Amino acid sequence: MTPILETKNLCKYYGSGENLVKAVDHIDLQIAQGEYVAIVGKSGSGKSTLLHLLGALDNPTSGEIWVDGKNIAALTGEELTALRRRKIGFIFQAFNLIPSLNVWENIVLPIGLDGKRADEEFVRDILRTLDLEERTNALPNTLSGGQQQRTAIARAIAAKPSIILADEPTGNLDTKNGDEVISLLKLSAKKYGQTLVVITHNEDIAQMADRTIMLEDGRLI
Amino acid sequence: MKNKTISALAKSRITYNKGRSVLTGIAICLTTVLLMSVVTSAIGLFDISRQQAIAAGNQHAVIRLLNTKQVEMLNNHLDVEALEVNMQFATVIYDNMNGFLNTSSTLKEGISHGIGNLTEGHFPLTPDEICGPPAFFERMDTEPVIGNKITIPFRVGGEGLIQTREFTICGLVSQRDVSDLDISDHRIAYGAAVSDALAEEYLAPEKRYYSAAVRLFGESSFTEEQMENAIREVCLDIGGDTDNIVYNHQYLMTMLTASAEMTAAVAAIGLLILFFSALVIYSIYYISVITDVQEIGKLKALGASVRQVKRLFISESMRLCAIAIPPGLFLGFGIPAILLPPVMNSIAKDSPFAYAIEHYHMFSAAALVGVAVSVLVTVRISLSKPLRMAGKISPVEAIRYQEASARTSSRKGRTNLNLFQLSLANLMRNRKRTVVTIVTMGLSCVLFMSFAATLNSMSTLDYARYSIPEGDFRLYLDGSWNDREYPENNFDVLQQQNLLGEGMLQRIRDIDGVTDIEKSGFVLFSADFSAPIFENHTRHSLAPFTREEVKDMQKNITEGEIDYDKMLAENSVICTSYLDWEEMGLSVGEPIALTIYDGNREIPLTVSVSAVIKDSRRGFLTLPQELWDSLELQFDPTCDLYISVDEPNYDGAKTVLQEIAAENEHFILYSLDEELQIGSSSINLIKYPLYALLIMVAVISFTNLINTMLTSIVTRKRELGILQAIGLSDRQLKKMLSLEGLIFTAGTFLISVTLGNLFGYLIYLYAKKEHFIGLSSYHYPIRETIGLAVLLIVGQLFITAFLNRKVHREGLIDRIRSGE
Repeated sequence: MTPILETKNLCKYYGSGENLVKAVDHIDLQIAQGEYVAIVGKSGSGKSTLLHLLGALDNPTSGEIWVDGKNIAALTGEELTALRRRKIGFIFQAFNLIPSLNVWENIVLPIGLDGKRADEEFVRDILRTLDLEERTNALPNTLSGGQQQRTAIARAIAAKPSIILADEPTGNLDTKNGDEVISLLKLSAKKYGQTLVVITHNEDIAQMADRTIMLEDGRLI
Repeated sequence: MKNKTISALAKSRITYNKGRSVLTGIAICLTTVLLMSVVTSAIGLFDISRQQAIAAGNQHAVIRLLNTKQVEMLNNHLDVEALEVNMQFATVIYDNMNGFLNTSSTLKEGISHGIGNLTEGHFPLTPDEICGPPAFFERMDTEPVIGNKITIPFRVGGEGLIQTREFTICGLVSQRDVSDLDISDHRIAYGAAVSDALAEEYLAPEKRYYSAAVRLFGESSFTEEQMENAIREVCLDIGGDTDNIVYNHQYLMTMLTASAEMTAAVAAIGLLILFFSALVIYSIYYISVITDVQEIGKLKALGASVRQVKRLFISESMRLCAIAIPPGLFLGFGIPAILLPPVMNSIAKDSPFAYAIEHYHMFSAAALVGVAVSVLVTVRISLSKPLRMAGKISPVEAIRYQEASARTSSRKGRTNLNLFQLSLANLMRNRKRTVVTIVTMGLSCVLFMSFAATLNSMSTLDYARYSIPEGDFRLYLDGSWNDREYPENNFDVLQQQNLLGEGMLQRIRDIDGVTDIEKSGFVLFSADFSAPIFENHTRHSLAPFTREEVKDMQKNITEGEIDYDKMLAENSVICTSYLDWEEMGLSVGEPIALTIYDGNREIPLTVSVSAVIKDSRRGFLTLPQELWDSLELQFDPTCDLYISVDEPNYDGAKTVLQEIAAENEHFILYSLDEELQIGSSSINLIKYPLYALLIMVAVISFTNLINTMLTSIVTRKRELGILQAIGLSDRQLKKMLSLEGLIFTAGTFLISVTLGNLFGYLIYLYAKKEHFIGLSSYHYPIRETIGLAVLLIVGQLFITAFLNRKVHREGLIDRIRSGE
């Protein structure tokens, strides 16, 4: 079966000479469709860099990245953006909601950017699943951290992407909210058949994954 | 925190907030440039006015129609500082030349003129001597050389028999160079001086009337009104008629009250500029306050006192002023100093009314200091909000301060979002910032549109239409009403020759390019009525008007009413000379017996005057067309032909018409191109400097738009990164920024055309009432409106393109991570 995410000899270097930093160093990786993968490692091990490369948010120094059978190096800027809109849902540690839009609008934003109309029933289902029904018109500055992150999750899955990439999604949450968020993430990924890749420092979260990938100094261990 | 630390911090903030510092610096510099330009130009223009006024003649007034005894009394009057008496002795009869002979004597030194000053020889002393400008003698086909003889036919006092006398040229005087002016000869007056002795030969003392150019003592202590009153007193003292005083307004306005008025005008403009600049600079600081407030929080958390924080911001802004103001002063002085002299000299060259200026004085140390201080004060005031917040806000609140309005907790929102709605949501997030930007830009554009209406209505065409009411050319009969010595010059006699009849019309129709000919005319009449204007059967003009013209005429009524049908029924006429009306001693409705001169036929007609209007373009009396037709005139009363020509054939037609006009001494030709040229230089003198000023105000306000959009990019860096991460393409980002800019532009344009047009019309009405030059009808400023729209859109697109490039300077991940 073709992996939905694959890297071949992937490298991302910063600086040069004495200041050379190998954030990602010759990584070969394959992630199957529907898999829940946790990426763990110390600070500075290259986890976020790898995730950003997988999500086409950054360009590799060398190597290949294949997303759903496409080598993304061959794609133009517009095509990459379209890929992010349709295939990938990204969840950041800092929530990163648009402050001028309410919860509903934040969720349907990627769909609108794609020039499509939202599947209202589907979005309402997400809101129910993530316990955000009562807060549909609320602006982000009135939401708690957990609610904001749940909104970010909803935004990530509303466009029905095949891949969800989450960079420390519980990093800014307390334990209770963190557990809740991960459970919901896993639940919705399973419900909608999505591949889930999560960066985490939390061992409990890592243990919930189907597979754990460990990084150290930019390399797979 | 010691002063050194504050200074160092201020310096580093300027470098760190480079974008804002540059924008603020530009706004401060532009404000200084604009203010300094206005003040420098005002000083220069004021100096030019003074020099022009002095060149035109430094007399305070001319008192006309003084007899010999009165002149002597004037000469002995204690208040009179300088006195020069002139007498227009005779009119020159030569070809179609508009020439005259005058005598001139300086009784008390002190009157000076720009032209007419002796360049060679001497002023005439004996009856056979003549002195004048070279152009006078050249016009009479005589070489302007001292000692040359010239025979001149003239009529003493402009009437009576033509005398002919030989003169010897004894002197030449300076003249204005009109060779570059493309105007007809009959628009130029040629004058030369003859001796008092000659005047005494022809004119008995009781028939000699002089014009006295006077200056009074103590000019510097008078306002214009006070000087006029003083002159009036002097005139009454010598038994003169105060109606005969012609004040030298150009000189009095410039030399006496111009200082106060000019200062007030400059101060008003200066305050306006400062107001807009303050708005812009305040807006720049206000919009950037989010960064400052967070900085305030950090500084306070580190231990800075409120006073120290305030000193920091003041130090930063004063450093910016120190960098931005000097170049502003330099450019603000330099630009007018370089541009004004050639512009004014060019206008003077093309204008028959202006004198060339050799030295321009535009520098003023006081103005320099005043401008610098004004800008400093403006900047200081603009800091009020951040400084106020520095005092009140706690460190934690300051650090946590976000731009979003704390009062809003929810938003109705939309089910589906598109780019336009996203842009709108971004702008509505901080309504106050958005409104401040739109209002600031809008107000400066309102200012532009307000004055654009009046400036656009200052039409050289309207000015020219005073001489040529319709068409491109006006060919008219130059005749007399009451020439008793040479009755062949009178209109009733000329009309018998049918000079502008069908034959002439056909000749003109046959000229290439002539598309239409309109005509108008009048007949002469006298009245059997006891009033000075009708004494000795003095004749005036009677012309027709149509029912369609009534509406226009009603705008100028001063007495009575115009009811066309009633006038037909009651044999009524309208008097157009509202000044003479009072002298007539008639009442509206009172009958008056007229004798109408139709060639050699006399037609009696009794009429009553139903209304009095102000319209010098019609006959003295005017009656309805049907009444005119009932006179059944035998001779064609046409006195004016208005000829329309298609553009490609204009020059050719003009040449032919000039040849026709030259055939008969009674023909005078006005050409539209000449009238436009005469009008344009006067109007342009006012128009262009004002437009330049308004554009600069608009430019200053544009910096506000730049700042608003730049700050919004800077403060939304992470947000824009996230948007791109979740699927906003580069093209969509550019479109979104453009949409935001366009919303600003649309708001600005809406305010400009609504308020701007309203104020524009009101200003136009006021300017028309005050008889500003060239204003007779309102012309909507279409060009300016379109120009403004184009400028706003193009400017906004440039800003968007620049900002878009700025956004992409950092990588996507770096933008997302900023602020983490």
